[in-house]
Parts: sequence; C-alpha cells; structure tokens
Amino acid sequence: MKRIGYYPGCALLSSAKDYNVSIHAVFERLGVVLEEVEDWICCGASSAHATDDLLALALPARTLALTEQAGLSALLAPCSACFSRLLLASERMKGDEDLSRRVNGVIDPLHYRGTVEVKNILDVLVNEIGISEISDHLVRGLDGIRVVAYYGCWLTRTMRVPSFDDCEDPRSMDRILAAVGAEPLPWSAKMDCCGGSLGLMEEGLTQGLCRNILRAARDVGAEAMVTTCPLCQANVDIFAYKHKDEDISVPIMYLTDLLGIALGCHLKGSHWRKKFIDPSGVLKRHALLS
Amino acid sequence: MGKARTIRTDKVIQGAGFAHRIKEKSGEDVFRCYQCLKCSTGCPMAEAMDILPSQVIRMAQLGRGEELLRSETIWVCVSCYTCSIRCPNDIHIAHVMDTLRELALKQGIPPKRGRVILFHQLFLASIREYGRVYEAKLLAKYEAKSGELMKNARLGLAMFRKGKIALLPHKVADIKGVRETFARLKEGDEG
Repeated sequence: MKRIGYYPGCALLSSAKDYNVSIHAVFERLGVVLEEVEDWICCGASSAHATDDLLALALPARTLALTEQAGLSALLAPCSACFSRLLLASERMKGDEDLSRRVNGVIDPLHYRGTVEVKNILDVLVNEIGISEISDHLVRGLDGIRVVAYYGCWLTRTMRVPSFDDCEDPRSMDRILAAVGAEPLPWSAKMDCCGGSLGLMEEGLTQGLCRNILRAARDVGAEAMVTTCPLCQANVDIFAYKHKDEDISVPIMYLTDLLGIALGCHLKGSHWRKKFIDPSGVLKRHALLS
Repeated sequence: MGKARTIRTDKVIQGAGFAHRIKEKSGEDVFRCYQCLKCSTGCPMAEAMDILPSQVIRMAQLGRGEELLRSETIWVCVSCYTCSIRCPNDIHIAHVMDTLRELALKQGIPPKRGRVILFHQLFLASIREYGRVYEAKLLAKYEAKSGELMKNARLGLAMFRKGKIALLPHKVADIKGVRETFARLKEGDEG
C-alpha cells in the first residue's frame, strides 16, 4: 500500500468539496493512502505572492515543515495554485541557504529542512501510480465521451523546476482519459489562463478569458471539459452559469469525477449537481450514470 | 479601501538605483532582456494593460520606477506565468510584477485597481485569523467594503445552496503560531 502526504487546500473544503470526495474515492480504489498533513494552513495563493514575497514563502513553509514532521517525503496538492505555491517555496528554500534561514526564522519553532517533494495529481497518477495500473482497475469504459483536457496555467509552469510534463503542450491528462475510454480532443486552449486570481474582483477584465476557453471547447465539439484545478473549475463553471444566454456552456468536471466512474467508485447522484453546469445529461447520454 | 497613505516620495527610487533594487529584490536579472516581445505577445491580459510586460522590463532597466509603481499593469497581471515560461532570457517576469506590486504597497502608492488589493488584504486577514480561508466571511466583508454589496448576492446564494460555501471556519490548532509568523513579518517590515 502506497502512502503519500495530502494537502487538500482551502478550496477542497468549500467550493470544491466534490473534488475532495472523488479524489478520495479514486485513490482508495487505486490502493493509495492519502495522509492529510495535520494542521496544514492556507498556501497564501495569489494574495500572498502579490503583496509580500517573504509571506508567500512563509505560509507554504509552515505546511512543508509539518509535512516533514509527519515523516512524509512527498506531498500531493491537487489544486494548481496550492501546488505552485508549495513547490516554488520549497525549491527556492532548497536552493538558497540565506533565504531558507530567513523564512525559517519567521516560522520558528517550525523548521523546514527542504526534504519534501511537492507533487500535483497528474504527476502522481501518471508517474507514481502509472497509466497501466489505472487501466488494470478499469470497471467501466467511458464510452468515447468527447472531452477536452484543460490543464490551466500553473500545473506545468513550474519555472526553474523541471516539469513532469511539457510546459506548453502537456498530454498526461489526455493519456489518462484515453486509457479509460474517453476521447480526448486536441484543442487550442488547454493551457490558457482562466483569470481565476482576479475573477472575483475584476470580472470585466477576465471574463473574455473564460469565454475564449469555452468557445474553444465548443469549437472542437467537446461534450465536457475536464480539469484538475478547483480554481479553474469554479471560475469557468461560474462564468458559464452567469452567461447561460450566450449558449457557450460546456460542463466542466474534475478528472477524478470521470476516473471515479471508470474505476467503479460510488459517487452519489448529488455529486454531479455540485457543478453549476450539471454534467449528468452528458453522462447519461453515454450511459455512464444510471 | 481606506484612505490612501501619504506617499513616501523619499523612497521612490528613480534611475539606476531602482533598476538594481528590482534586480536584487526579485532575484531576476532584468538586464538580460533584449526586447523580443514574446512576453507581451503571449500575455492574456495585454489588452487591459497600460504598459506591456516587455515595456515593464525595459522601464525597469531604465529605472522608471515611478511610472511602473503607478501603473495599471501591475494590478491587471493575473500571474499566469505565460511570459515567464517563454522568456528566452530566463527572466521570471511574473515574479518581477510581484516585486513591483510589493514595492508599490510598501511605498504607499494607491493601487489603480483598489478592489484587487482589498481582496488580497481580506484574504490574508482570513489566514491570519483562522489559518485557512473562511470564504463566507471573506466574501461578505469583500462585498461590503468594495461597495459592490449584492452584486454577487445571487451567485453567493446559489453557491450556498450547492454546499459550496462552508458555514463555519476551519480554524487550525496552532493559530498562535500562524499569528506569530504574521507578526514577525510585520516587525521585519518596519525595521
């Protein structure tokens, strides 16, 4: 039985509770134990890095120190923002003794030694578990449902840290989806930013981004979008809900929602109604929901 | 936003000093830029910017700090890292934007997009109070203080109905430690 440290992040306790549910269901089915780091704190997201660099390092460093204390060598952060903040903080501290000393001074008595490997969910699924292992657990093929894999911005933009997948044209999610019987379509917006970090405050500035992403998905004939980031999911889903009259809405699900179906996990009917654009219709069309 | 703090002009650095300060504080060698414009052409927010990312770097080289710190651009950038990942000279441009924002705030320069900084402040206050973000309170406070009360009320209600907003905060056990971290950072700022 594999075990890996788990950092759900704030979104998975609120707007993306359903993501947390399907992640747990899928990982249990794959025989991987998610060990939630006790007393983890918020990564600070954009609000910390946009205002105070040392704070943007100190908040993730507290959680990374707790991860080390718990004897965990790897930490899975499903949210792309959390992943990016934790990874970049960890790597900058590892590479800079003076900076590490300053950050550790601020989080004392906690202390981060720099031993944690921060992982995102695609990396864990493809490289730790493996696509063949996922295929081995396949219970119900996804009936060729036409989807677009939406990676969003931070997942592979790991800057000076080598990325687990191509930083401009990632394919790992497409490969997973194909392995469980979906038809992932090539499309142009897989890495386009949804504007999530400004979505609430400057809707006027960012809504063009969501519109372009949904249009790109529609243009290739996607029945659904698939993502691993709770912020992308919320931002695109809410945009589609607010602009129903534009007739560009495409349901957006988490990768683990579809994997849950494919691996025969029990997800309640209410799971699908958590999204603003309910994907049940599309899923029923493919006999993936009873 | 509260009233804008007085601008400490003595600290607004123009000229070579500013360029070097940006380089030192961000750790990014802005002098490597040769204006290929890849950052500006790929930027999803370029349309809404008053100074393009490539121009930001050029102006940083020239030490035109005052214009940069007062620009729309630094508050319009969504930190998507497209520019940074494509820079042929390995300049993490999005991180330079962070440095500019931080300097602008520390200089007391009123941000062009006040709602953005209001949100950031309330978000961080939530972490300081609970260790994690308590969305219900954050959103309510934001709506009230931004003067946008009720703008998102329908959405908020719909989210609440879907169980997307937790009723109660998730306060961490070591909240004392979290607050100490915030306090030490504040001391460092003033010192």
